[in-house]
Order: sequence, then structure tokens, then C-alpha cells
Amino acid sequence: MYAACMPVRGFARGTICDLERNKLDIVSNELIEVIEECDQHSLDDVFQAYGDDNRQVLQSYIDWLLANEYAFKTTTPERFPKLEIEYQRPEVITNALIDVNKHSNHDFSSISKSLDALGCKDIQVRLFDYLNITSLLEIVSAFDETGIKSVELLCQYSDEISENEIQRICQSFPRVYLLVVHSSPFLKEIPGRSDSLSTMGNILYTTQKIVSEDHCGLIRPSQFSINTETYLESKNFNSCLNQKISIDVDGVIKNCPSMRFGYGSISEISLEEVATLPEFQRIWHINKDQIKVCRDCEFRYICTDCRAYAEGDSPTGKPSKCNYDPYTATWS
Amino acid sequence: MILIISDHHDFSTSRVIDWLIHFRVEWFRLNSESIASFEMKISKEGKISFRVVSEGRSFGSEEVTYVWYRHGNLTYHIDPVHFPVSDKIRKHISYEWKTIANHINSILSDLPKIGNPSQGDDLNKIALLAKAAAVGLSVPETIITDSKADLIRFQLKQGRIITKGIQRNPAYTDDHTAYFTHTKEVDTEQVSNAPDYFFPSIFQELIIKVYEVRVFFLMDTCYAMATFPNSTASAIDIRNNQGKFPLRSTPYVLPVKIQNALIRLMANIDLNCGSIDLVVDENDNFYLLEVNAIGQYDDVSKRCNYQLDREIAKGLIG
Repeated sequence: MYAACMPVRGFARGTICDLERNKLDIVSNELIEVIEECDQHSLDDVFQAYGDDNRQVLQSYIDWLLANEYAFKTTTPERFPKLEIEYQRPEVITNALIDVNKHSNHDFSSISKSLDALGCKDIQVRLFDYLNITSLLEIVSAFDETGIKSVELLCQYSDEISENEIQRICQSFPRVYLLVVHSSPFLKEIPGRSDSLSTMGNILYTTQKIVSEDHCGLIRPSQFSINTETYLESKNFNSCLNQKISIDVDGVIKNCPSMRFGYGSISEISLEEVATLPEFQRIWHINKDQIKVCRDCEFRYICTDCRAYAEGDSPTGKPSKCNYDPYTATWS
Repeated sequence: MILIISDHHDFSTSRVIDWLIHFRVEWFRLNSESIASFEMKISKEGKISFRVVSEGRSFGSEEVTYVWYRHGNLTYHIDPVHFPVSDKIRKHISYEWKTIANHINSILSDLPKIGNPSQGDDLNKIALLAKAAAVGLSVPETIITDSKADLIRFQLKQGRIITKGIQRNPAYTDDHTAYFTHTKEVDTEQVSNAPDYFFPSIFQELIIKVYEVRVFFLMDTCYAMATFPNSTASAIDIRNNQGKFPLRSTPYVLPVKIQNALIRLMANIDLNCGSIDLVVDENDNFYLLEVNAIGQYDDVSKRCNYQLDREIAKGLIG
């Protein structure tokens, strides 16, 4: 197999996650077994082991793998190692989530300084209540002149803020990756500007009402992320909370705003202090192989996770907002 | 303190610096065209030291413990407002600066380093093929000629041939579009349509590759990736992929014999870091095509999960 094509065995069936071409094929576990055999033995030996009765099926599996460019034939397999599964980032924190409602009183300029010092690259700010344009600009401008790469901003729709003003925010703050206007009376998507690497300044008006942190934690195929970065992070760490830090509407520092446990108010303890606490980082290490049900799921390394809403209130319970059953391979 | 010579736009430099911060070591990024103030002293004992101010920070040569030569040239910023000088004078002072810069580079080259400041980022590709052959690596049959007669003879002897830029492939940008050229096959019709004499150009035998190997060479370790062509065009130059998907690339371990030859080659050209392009034909022969002093290694690093930014940072820490 090409190193980027990862066979993943599930309970009822398997997947091949193509991390290079960002696509997924659902396959039988028998096919995964063939892949594993071919990893260890020569084709001749595998054909011999499967016997004449299975010859045709085996041949069709191998032809399919070759035709889809998942596998290739070689006489020098020792030169083609597997992908190293290691995942390490230089930053302490890679992403942050900050919730705001009309009672919140966050000091964004000091938050921004702390996040920058922690190496944070991606930030999401969720405004559950309406805030006027001055407050919006104040929040976004706090991230200027930092190493922060992208800011995603969710704000509530209001007649007070025109589409033009929303577009101006994206144009004047190059770090804004996505601006979501929720509770909007209409649906509208305004694509941003593209450069070679990414598209920044995208705008999305959605009719969905995002008025509290409860909307989060949904697990859906549309959120599958089939790439090397996600795959390696999920193999080693929690695919939602690893290297994340959050501030809830009351200013309490948490792993995730939806979680009950907090590490103190931002006015009393710094983000830097919390981020390096061993107990804060413990949850980062709960990967999908430890989570009940998920550990038997063929989508486990490309899927998101949720530790806030988990079955049985257990730290390793299945995300309760996931409606996939890997034992029957059905979505309910 | 680790001194990094780079330019503003180089993303890999920023990633390596993230790792230097992670490992808590001092660093100084000196970008092209960013020297704001400069002083060099020759002591009575004959020792030369210098001090540089750039982007609001400064350092002295005695503080530098390790150098990463990543990119570009050391240039002194001549502010046209404060130094309103004519072109003739500008030409003269830039020549004066070159003498200074050469000496800075020679001081830095004596320090432990990754990359080679006194060599710059442009290896002579013709010399390189000869040096590769000298350490026992195969290189494609090559001629550089300005004559149609020579070219016809070469084509008759080699069969299929290609051409490309001798030092680099031509690339230019007009208002909206960037144009790049790749290695192209030259067929018999093109040869017979060629004028009798033309500007000296390079021609090489076409090697039908099973895969291409891109090696990021770092302090005697070869981080290799094999890329498989999926069409005739990409078999000639893997950058020429018109398919829907990126070409398949996968981590690769070079045979020890080839690794050792590359280590000897890089030692001969006094370079401990660079990108090397090889092709492998159906008889498992390895041919060296090119060595680039400044490799964009990000693609190899990501696709093969080699964490090269971290490995470079570790190398700089020593």
C-alpha cells in the first residue's frame, strides 16, 4: 500500500482512508485482511495461503487496490516503509475557543497576548448574543500583530450590521478565516479571497440559532476530515481537545466551554498557567482507541470527538450526539 | 545564539523558529534586505568581529554559536529617502557592500552550520553532474550545444531525449499569471525544425522512470520520498501532472550504496543540507538529476511525516 492509504478495521466493516487524496472507501474486513497479508508476504505466498478456491476473489481484491492506486507492486518492499505515526507540534496550544454573551467581560487584548505566547494558531470566537459593530471590531483587532493565523468568528444576525460592514471586517482583518452570521433570516454564502494555500475571509449567513454552547458536539460524516494531520493527531491524541484551551461566557478557563469542570476565572489565573497544568493536559491523551464504541468504529481516525457530551458521563464514553453504530454499520 | 539567514516570506523558517522557541533556545532571524545598521571591527590581534541591527534587534558575531543558511543574500538596506544617490554611485556602493558581505559569510562559514553561507543558494548544475559521476552515481548522458548537427547526432545515439533549463527552468510572471516550464521531451520533428545554430542548450537522454526520488539531505541523513508518475507527461517531469489527483508519494529508504554515494557527493561540494532529485528506471538504476542547496522540504516532510522542521531545529541546537 502507498503509505498515505490507511486500512482501518472496524467491527462490521473497514475503511481505506486516503490521506493524500482526501477520500474514503468503505471496504470489507476481508479486504483489510488481504492488505495485512500482502504487507507481510509476497503475492505468490499470499495466493498459496488462500488456496485455489479463493484465487478469484483474492485476485479481484488485488486488482481493485491496484486500479484505485491504493497499492502498487514492487520487488523491493524493504524500501517502502510505513508512515511514522508520531505526532508532535512545537506549540503548547494550537487552538482556542472563546465564548461571549451579553454578560461577558473578557479582556481580549490580554487573552490575545497570552494565546500568542502559547503559540496558538487558530481561534474561534462565538458570540451568542448580539454585539454592535464597535465591539466586534474591538474583538477582531485584538489579534492583530500576533502569530495567530486564523480567526473564526460567529456573531448574531442583526439589522444594525449591514452585509457591507460584515464584508469590510473580513477585508480589513486578514486573519479572519470565516465569519458566521447565525440566527439569520436568510442563507447566504460569500466566498473569500484565495491564495495558493487557503481561502480567507469567507462569510456564511445561517438560519441556525447558535445561542449557547449546547449546539456543539454533533458527530456527522460531513465533519469527517480525511488528511494526514487529523489522522495522526487522532491516532495519538483527542481529536477535539488536544492542545485546545477555552474560555466560557463567564470567563472560566476550561478544556471546552461545554464541560463542567473549570480551572479558574481568567481574572484570577492566566491561560499560560492553566495550559501547562498536567491535569489540564490529561484529557488531550484520550484517543479514539480508548473511547468505548469509537474504538470499534471504522471512521475513528478521521472523525471528531466530544468529551463534553459523552454516554454514561464517563471520560471514555461514546460521544452521545453520535448516531452511528459500528456494530451494525448503520446511522440512526 | 542561533543565527538564521533567510527572507521574510519563507514559511519553513517560521516553522523551525517555532521549534527553537519550543526548545527554549536563543535565535536571530536575519532576513534579506533587512540590515539597518552595521559595524565591523578589526582588533589589534587581527580578529574580525561585527555587529548587525535588523528589524529592531541586534546581535554581535561573538554571540553566534550556530548558523542556518536558509535563503538569499545579506544585503544592506539603502533607504532612497535618506541616501538619495545616483545609480552609478549605488552600483559602486553595492560593490563595496559585496566585499563586506563576503567577509561576513566567510566568518559565518567557520562556525558550525546547516547550509553554507559562503556558497549561496545557487550550485552550478553542470559541475554538479560531473561531481556526482565522480562519486559513482549514474547521471543521464548530457550535452550542452548550440549546434543542430550535434543535436541530431546526440538524438541518433540516445534515442529519446529531453531538454530543460541548464541552471533553472525559465519562470516568469506577467500581470496576472505565473508561467513555469518543465522538463520536456524533444522529438525528431522538433530537432529537424531547429535552426542550424541556437543558444547553447542542455540535452539529456530520456530516462523512463518507474519512480522519482526526492531526498532531503540533512547532516548525512537522507529523508527520501518516492513519487510515482501516472502518465507519459509526468513520467518525463513529475511536476507535469494533469490528473485529477496528486501523484502518489510515499516514504522511501534509499539503498545503502546510494546513501553513501550521496554522503560523499555532499561532502565534496561542502554542503550538509539540500534537496536531491533522483530517478529510478525499470532496471533499478538510480540516476542523479539535480541538487538544490535550498530545498523546499515542506512537501516531503508533510507527506512522509518526517517532521523536518523539528529535525533542523534539533540540528541547530547541536
